[in-house]
Amino acid sequence: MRRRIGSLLLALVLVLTSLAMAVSAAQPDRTYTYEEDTPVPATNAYQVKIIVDESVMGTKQLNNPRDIFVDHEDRIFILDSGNARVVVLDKDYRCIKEISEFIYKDEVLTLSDGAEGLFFREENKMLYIADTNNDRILVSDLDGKVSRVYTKPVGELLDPNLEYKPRKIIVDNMGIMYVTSGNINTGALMVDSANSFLGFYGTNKLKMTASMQVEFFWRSILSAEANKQSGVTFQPVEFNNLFWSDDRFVYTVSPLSEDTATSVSKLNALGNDVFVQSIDLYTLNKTRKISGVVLSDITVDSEGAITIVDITTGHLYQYDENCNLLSVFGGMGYQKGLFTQPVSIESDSDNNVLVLDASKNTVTVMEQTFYGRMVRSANYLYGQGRYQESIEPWMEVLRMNANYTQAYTGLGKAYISMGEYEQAMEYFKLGKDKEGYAEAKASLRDETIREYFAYVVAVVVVLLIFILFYERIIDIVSTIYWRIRK
Amino acid sequence: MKKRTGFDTMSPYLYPFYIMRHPRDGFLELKANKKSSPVVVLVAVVLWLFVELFYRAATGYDMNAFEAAETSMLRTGVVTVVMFVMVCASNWMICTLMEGKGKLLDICTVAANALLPYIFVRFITTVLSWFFAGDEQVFLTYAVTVSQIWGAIIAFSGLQEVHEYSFAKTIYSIILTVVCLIIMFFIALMLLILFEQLYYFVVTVMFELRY
Repeated sequence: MRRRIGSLLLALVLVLTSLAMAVSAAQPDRTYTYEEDTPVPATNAYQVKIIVDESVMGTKQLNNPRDIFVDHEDRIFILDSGNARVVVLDKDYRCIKEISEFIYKDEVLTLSDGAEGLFFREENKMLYIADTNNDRILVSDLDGKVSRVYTKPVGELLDPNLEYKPRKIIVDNMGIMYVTSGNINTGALMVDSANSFLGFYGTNKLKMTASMQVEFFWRSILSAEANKQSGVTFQPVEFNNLFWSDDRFVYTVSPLSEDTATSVSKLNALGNDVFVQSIDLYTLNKTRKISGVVLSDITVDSEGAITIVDITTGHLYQYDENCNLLSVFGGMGYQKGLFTQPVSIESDSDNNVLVLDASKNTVTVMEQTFYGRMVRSANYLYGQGRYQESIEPWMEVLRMNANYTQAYTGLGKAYISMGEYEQAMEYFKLGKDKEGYAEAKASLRDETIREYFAYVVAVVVVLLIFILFYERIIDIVSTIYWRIRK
Repeated sequence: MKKRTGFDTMSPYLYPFYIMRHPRDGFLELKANKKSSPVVVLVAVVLWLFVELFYRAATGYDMNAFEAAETSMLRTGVVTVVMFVMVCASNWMICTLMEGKGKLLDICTVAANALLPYIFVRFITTVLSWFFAGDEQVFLTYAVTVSQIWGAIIAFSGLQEVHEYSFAKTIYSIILTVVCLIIMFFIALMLLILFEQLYYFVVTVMFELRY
């Protein structure tokens, strides 16, 4: 009997420990959003679908991979810089090709250690590889046959003494390459297929800051020599990464700094930022007193949601196409769903986010949860102005995450458009949207006045008479009062 | 003054309404006939207290400048009453030294009368804020500002009449009153900090003795 109890206990302990292990292997809940610069915990919008390592891929382990690209057929290209190769995966994350030898005119070219950029152009099915430390760009097909090698572009506008280290590359539908180089802060270099330099694209703009103003004040007083000695200059920052979206916009991320106008921009063909509302991660991180945020990559999925990754904290910030924050997820760590060095991200046709970790040497595929899909669709409908259709997804969102302020505002807008102003006011109050509340209130008031117009006028007239003749009215009332008393 | 009604508009309790419309004459009459009344003062302070609380709690959500979670009604009430007492006291102290003829009760009556327009307007605008929305808030702020300016005029003429000062001397006394107020606040703050330190000292000693 005793022994039986002992064995039972042992079995129980075993079961419990295995349960505990299963729990610890789950993804940690670290998703959050912001409510007026204050981080608020949120439900997970993304969860890990699969972690793609060498056993899934069926090839040698990645070594310091630097860039990832997903094409229209959901093939995944990984620039595995440490192994000087490009790995091509199929939809199921199995290796279908491994390009390590690049043949150019019967000569074998190898990638340098630390090649940074990779782009696959759909129009001619060619891979563009920025071979950073060899100062060149290789254009190769998927068999490793190199058709062109671009060294430093030639052009009158380009300083010939400037060092050229191509880091990131994108190619537009006309075949023009946009290349960022490590030390050039005047924008991306536009290079055509004949390797001639066309100009700089999308230079980051500077913003006036207080320290800058002080500096300019001293400069206006001091002599030219003293100014030269001070050595303080204000220069724009270079792009960290570029993304070419299918609707022909270029998305860029730049280092955060006080004097950078925008660190995330959506550039049109002229290189102008077209974001109406900007993504201001600098202010957010300043209020939270977090320093060292380095945005390493940006990607836009088929629904227009923008995902940005921060390499130092491992956080992924996801915004909708109107730059409303959807959620922040990920984080720094070795657990599933956390990252140690997320250098590059991509999204595939199922709107999964693929995160390439250069230190874990894996690709983490994050898929949307039901909550994430609901937030996304509600925000999408809301952005489209289809408020009534958005009620259902907003309700679902609130059921799972009552902290999501935007949902209340969305519901308020929906009820305003349906003419249920009192409901709308309630939701606007919950969403802390004073403007929306005022709008609903004004509509409710106007409607009520229209309904009871005669009474309203009567009350106003009576009040006016009272205000104008109140002394006389008091006289009359008191006379009547005294008569009655007598 | 015509007077054929049972409501004596010149009684001390209804007199503030006359002062509100004719501050200068009103205070002259008040001083001459000794119509200063502690009841009026008390009622005005209580009304002010009520209106301040009402304003914070009941203003329409879109115009309410106070976060409900961060507004303490107790604190508002204490600040309101203490403000009234301190202003009256400081003016009394200054004007006693400056040969003002007003008694403390007169000064309190002036302050109470000066508050009345603000009290009424604040109450009405708070109620109106339930029906006004958006940009129409400007009208409400405008009304409140006008009431405050009118209150200042009442206070000024009241002090002038009550203390029997010249125009310049009234201004001078008001400036000194403000300085006196600042000094009072400073001393109060210092005392507060001092007593806090004393309190923690005693608490620490108790703590040490116990363990």
